[in-house]
Amino acid sequence: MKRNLAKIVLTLVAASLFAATGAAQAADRLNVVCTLTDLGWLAQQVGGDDAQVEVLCPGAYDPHFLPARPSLARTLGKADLLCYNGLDLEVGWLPVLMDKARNPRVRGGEPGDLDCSRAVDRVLEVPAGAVSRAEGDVHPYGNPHYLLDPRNGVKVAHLMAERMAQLRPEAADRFRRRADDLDADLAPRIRAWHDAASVAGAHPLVIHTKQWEYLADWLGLQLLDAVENRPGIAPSPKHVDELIGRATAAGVVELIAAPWNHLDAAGKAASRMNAALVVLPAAVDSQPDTGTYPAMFDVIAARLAAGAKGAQR
Amino acid sequence: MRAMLTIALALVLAAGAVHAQSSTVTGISSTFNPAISVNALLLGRTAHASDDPALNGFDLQESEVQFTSVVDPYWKANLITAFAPGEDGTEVEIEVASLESRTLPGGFGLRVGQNHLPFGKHAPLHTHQFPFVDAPLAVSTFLGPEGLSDAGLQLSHELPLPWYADLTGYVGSGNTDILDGGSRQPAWGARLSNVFDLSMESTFELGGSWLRGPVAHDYLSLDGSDVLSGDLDLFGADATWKWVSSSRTRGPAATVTAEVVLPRPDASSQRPVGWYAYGQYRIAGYWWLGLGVGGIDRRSADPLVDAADFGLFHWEKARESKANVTWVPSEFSAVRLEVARFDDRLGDTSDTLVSLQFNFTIGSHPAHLY
Repeated sequence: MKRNLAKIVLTLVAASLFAATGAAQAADRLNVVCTLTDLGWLAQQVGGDDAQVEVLCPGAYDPHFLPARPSLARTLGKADLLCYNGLDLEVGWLPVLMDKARNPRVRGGEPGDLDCSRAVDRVLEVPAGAVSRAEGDVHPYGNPHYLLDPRNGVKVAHLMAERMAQLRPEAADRFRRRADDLDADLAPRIRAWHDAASVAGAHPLVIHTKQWEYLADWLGLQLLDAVENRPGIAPSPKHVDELIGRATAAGVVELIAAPWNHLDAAGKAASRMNAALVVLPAAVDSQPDTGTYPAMFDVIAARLAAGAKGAQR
Repeated sequence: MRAMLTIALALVLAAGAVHAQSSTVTGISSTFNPAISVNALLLGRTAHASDDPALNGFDLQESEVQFTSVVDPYWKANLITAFAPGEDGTEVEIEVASLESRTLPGGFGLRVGQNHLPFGKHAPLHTHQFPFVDAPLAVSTFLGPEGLSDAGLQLSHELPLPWYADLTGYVGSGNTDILDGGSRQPAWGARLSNVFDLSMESTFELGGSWLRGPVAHDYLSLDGSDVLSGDLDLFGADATWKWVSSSRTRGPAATVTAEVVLPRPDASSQRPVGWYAYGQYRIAGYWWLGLGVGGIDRRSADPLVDAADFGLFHWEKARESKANVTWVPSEFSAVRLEVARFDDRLGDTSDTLVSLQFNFTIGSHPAHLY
C-alpha cells in the first residue's frame, strides 16, 4: 500500500516537473498571433520551435467579415507579436479585438505590431484620386490580397524573421535561417507553379470578386472584369448582363471564384457566358488539401492549368 | 430643421478638416485629425390609433457625430454627440466623451469620462445599432429614454476562467435620467459577461448586471411628479446566442437575445419587472428579418401613483410585439420596415405603429462590438 502511494506521489511529482518544464519552455517561446491562415503558416515556418503561433481567422471565413468573437481577444491578449495583413483587410474586426484584448505589447507602433503589407514593394490598385464609397467598399490604401502572389509570401517571411529577431535576439539567427530556408524551398516551386498555371493567361478570365489581381499580375492572367464590380455591393442585373455579353465576345472560358463567394450566383453567371466555374482557394485551409501555403498554390496552379487544358479541347 | 442644419455644419467642418493642408509656416495641419463619422436615422411612421404628431410623420430620429483618435501613447479618445428633435427644438446630448487607457498593465481596461454604462445588452447600444426602431419598453422605461450614459470611471478585467469572462466595475456621478445626479452620493455598478464558444461559428453569452445609486425622484412616476427618495438598485440578466455561418460572405446568420431588468427602489414596495426577447435572421445576403416581444409589469396592487396616460402606455402591464425586415445593401446604409404592436393590459391604450427607417453612416466609423 505504502509502495503504491509512493509510486503515485512520485508520478505526480514527475508530472508536475514535466508540466513545469513544458510551461517554462512555452514561456520562452514567442507568442505569435496572426490574423490569417496564410500568415500563420509563414510565421510557423519562420518561428519554428521558438514560436507558438495562433491564427484568428479560420481559412473558411472571408477575412473581410470575421465575427469578432471575444475568445479571439483572449488569444490576442497573449500575443508578443501580432502579424496582420494590413491595407485595411481586417479593419472590420481587428480593432474591436484589439480594444478587448488590452495588450499593450501589440498596439500600433510597438515592436509587437507587424503590418505585413510593409514587405510588399508594389501594392496594386492604390486609388490615385479621391475615394468614394459610390465605388463600393473599396480599400483606400490599395488591394490587400497580396498573399495570392507567393513571391510576396516570401517577402513577408523575411519581414517576420527580422521582427522576431528583434523580439527574441537570442534566436535571431534561427529565425533568419528558417526564412532563408523557406525562400530557397519556395523559389523552384514558385517557378513551377508559374509554368503550370500561366497557360491560363491564354484566355481572358472573369472573376467573381476583386481579389485575384496579385495572382493575375504574377501569372500574367487577363482579368476581363468582376461580376461583383463594386466590392461589397450586390451587382446590378444590368452589369451582369453587360459583362456576360463582353465575356462571350472575348471568349472567356473560366470564371474564378473564392470558396466564400456566392457560388450559386457565380455558377449561373459562368453558365450564361459558357464558361467553367473554377473555385480557387483564396486562403490557406479555405478548402480541402490547402493546409499549407505551398499546398494552396499547388491547388491553384493545378486548377488553372486544368481549366486552360479544358478550354483548348 | 435645426437638426439638419447642425448635421450639415458638422459635415462642412469635417470636409474642411480633411482638405486642410499641413504647413510648417501656418502651423495648420490635418495630419492628426481624428477619424470622423456621422450617422443619421430618418424615420417615417404612422400610428393606427394615436394622432400624436411624434408618432405620425417623417422626421430625423437621431444623428450622431463621432470623433475618435489616439491622443498619445497613453490614451485613446472618443467623442459622440447626438442630435435629436425634442419638444423644445433640437436636443443635443454628449453620449460619450471619454479617454481609454492604452497602457494599463495586467490586462486591465480603464475608461474615464462620459460613457454608456455597462448594464445589460441593449442599453450600451447606439441608436443606429438597435435591432428595432425603438428600444424595448423594459429598457426605455426602466433605464431611461436616452439610455444609460454617465460621467465616471469604468475598470474592466478578463477573469482567469476557462471561458471568456469580462468583469467591469463602474463608479460615477449618477447623472442619468433614472438617478439623482445632484446628490453627492456616487453611483456604483458592475457587469459580468460570460461568452462561451459553442463552435467556430456560434457563441452563447450569459450576462449579469447591477447598478446602485440615488434614485431620481420622478423615477417610474407616470406624471413626472417627485415620488421617490433613497437608493435605486437595478438588476439585470441577459442571454444571447449568436451564429454566423462561415459558408459564404454574408451567409446565413442569426441572433437570439433575451434580457430581464428588475428595478428595486428602496422606498417602494413595488417589484417591477421588464423583459424582452428578440431574434434576427439574415437571409439572401442583404436582408434581415426580426421578431421581438417584450413587456413591463408593475406587479403591485399599490401603485405609486394613479395610472394616467403616459404616451402609449400605462405600463401597469404593457406588452409589445414587433416584426421588421431590413435591407442592408452595404455596410453603410440600411432601410427598415417595421410593424410594432403595443398593448396595455388595462385595455385603454393600445396602438399599432408602422415605421420606415433609413439609416446611413458616412466617414470613418469604428467597427461595432461583437
